[in-house]
Amino acid sequence: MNVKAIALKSIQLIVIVILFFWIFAPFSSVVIWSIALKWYWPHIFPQEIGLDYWLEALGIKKGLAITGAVSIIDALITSVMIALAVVAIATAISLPASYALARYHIPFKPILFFLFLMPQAFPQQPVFVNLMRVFYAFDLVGTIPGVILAHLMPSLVFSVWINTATFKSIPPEMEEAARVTGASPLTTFFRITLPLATPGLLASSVFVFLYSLDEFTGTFFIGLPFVITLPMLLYSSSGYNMQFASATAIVLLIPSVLFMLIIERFLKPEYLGGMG
Amino acid sequence: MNEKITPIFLILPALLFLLTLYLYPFILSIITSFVDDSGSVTFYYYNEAFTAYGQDIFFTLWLCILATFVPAVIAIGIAAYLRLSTVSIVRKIISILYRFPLFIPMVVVAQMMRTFLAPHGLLNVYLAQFGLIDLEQPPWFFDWKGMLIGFTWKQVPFMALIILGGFSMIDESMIEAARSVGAGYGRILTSILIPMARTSIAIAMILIFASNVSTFTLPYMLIGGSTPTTITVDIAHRVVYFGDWGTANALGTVSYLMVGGFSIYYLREMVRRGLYER
Repeated sequence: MNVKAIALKSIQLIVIVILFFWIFAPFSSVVIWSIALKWYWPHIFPQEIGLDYWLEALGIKKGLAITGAVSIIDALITSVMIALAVVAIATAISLPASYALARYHIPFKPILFFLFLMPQAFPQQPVFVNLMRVFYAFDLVGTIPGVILAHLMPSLVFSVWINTATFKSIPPEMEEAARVTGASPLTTFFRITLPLATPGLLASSVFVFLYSLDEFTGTFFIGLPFVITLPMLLYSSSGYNMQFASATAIVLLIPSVLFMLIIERFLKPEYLGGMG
Repeated sequence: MNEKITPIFLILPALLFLLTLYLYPFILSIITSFVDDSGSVTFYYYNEAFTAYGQDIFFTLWLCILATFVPAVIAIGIAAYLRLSTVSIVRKIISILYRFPLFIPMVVVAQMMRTFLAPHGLLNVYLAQFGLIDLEQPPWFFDWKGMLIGFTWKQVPFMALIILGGFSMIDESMIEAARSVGAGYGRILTSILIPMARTSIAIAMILIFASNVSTFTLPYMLIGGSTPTTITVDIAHRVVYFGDWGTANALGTVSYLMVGGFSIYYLREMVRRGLYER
C-alpha cells in the first residue's frame, strides 16, 4: 500500500468513529441514566447500577422516588388505544379518498392536493392551539376522543398520501379485466384492488400508528392534564426524575425503530419528515 | 353511480375532516390575531408580540436557518459519498449508521439531548476525560448550541435521504464523463450533483426549515422559559399560563410567515409532480 491509500483508510476509520460517537453517545446517555442508581459527577459510569427504576416504571415495584405517578404500562395502554383508534378511523376515511384521487378525474384536484399537503408545510402548533379552543366548546379537551381527533388531522394527511401512491401503483388494467368479466365495481375493489394494495395499506397503518404513538404537541394542548400518553409521561417526569424519563424514552424508541426498519422500503422518504 | 359524482362522494369524508380539524383552526388562528375582544380589527397583539417576544422571534429565525444549513451541508456530504463511492464495507457501515436518528421521535431526541448535554451530562464528562474542558465550569449547552446539536442529529438522515433521491436520478454517464476528463469528487459534487439535484436539495431544506420552526418539544425541554427561547415555547406560555389567544396567534401567524414563501414553493412543486406523474 502506498501512502495515499493508507491516508484514505485512516480518514475512513476516523469518519466512522466520529459517526459512531455522534449517533450512539446521546443514545448511550439515556440507556445509562435508565439504569443508574448512584452516579457521582464526574465519573463516566454510574457507581451503582440496577433495574430498580425499570421495575418501578413497569409497575412491578412500587415507588423509589415517585408515588402516585402513572406507570409506563398505564401510559403505554393509553397510547396504544389511542393509536389503534386513530389508525382505524384514518384508514376508513382515507381509503375511499385515496382511491378516488388515484383513479378518477376530480375537479379542483390541485386545490385538493394543496390542502392535503398544507399541514406538513406550515407549522402545526398554532393549529393545535386553536383546535384546543374549538374543542373547549365541545368538552373535548382533556378527553381521549379529543386526543384521537387531534391525532387524526396529520394522520389523515399521511394516510391519504401513502394510500394514493399505493393505488396509483396498481395497474388499472387489472380492475378493467375484472369488470369486463362481469364483476361489480365493489366486488372488483374488494376482490382485486384491496388484496393488491394490502402491503401499502399496512405500511400506511404502521406509519400512522407510530405517528400517533410519538405525537407530542397535539396531546400537550388537548390531552393534558388528564390524558397521559407515553410522550406526556416522558415530558412530565423529565423535570425531576431523569431515570424514569430515560426508561420511558427507551420504551418509546423501541417500536419506532423496529417497525420502521420493517416498513421503510414501502415508504417514500418525503413521508418521514412528519415523524416526531 | 355516475363517473362525476362517485369520486366527490368518496373524497367528501376526508375533505370534511380536514376542513374542520385543519383548515378551520388554521384560519381561526390568523383571524384571532387581528381581532380584539369587542370584535374590531386591531394590531395590538402584533405590537404585543414584537415588544415582548421580538428577541425570541429573531432567535427562532436565525436558529432555524442555521439548523437548516448545517444539516444540509452534512447531508449533502453523506449523499454524495453514497452516490459516488463503490461498494465496500465502509460504505455499508455508513449507509446503515446514518439513518438511525430518522426513526426516533423528537420527544426522545429531546430527552437524549437533555441528559447528554446537561452541565453534568455525559458529553462534558467525555470532554473532561480528554482535558478539553474545566470540570469546575462545565460549558452550558441548553441554548442555541444544544438546539443546533439536537436539530442536526435528528434532521441529517431525512435530508440525506431526499437529496440522495435527487442524486440517484442523475445519469451515471454524466458522472463517468466528468471522471474521464479528470474531475475529482469535489468538482463532480459542485458542477454536477448539486446543480442537477437542486430541486431535491431545496425541498429537503424547506421541509426541515418548516419542521424546525414548528418544533415545540426540543426547545420546550431544552431551553424552556429562559431567554432567548423559540416562538413555539412562547405560544405555549401565552396559552397555558395567560389564556392569551390573541398574542399566541399573532406569534403563530408570524411563524406561518417565516415559512410562508418557501412552503408555497414546496406545495406548488409537489402539486405539479402529483398531477403529472403517472
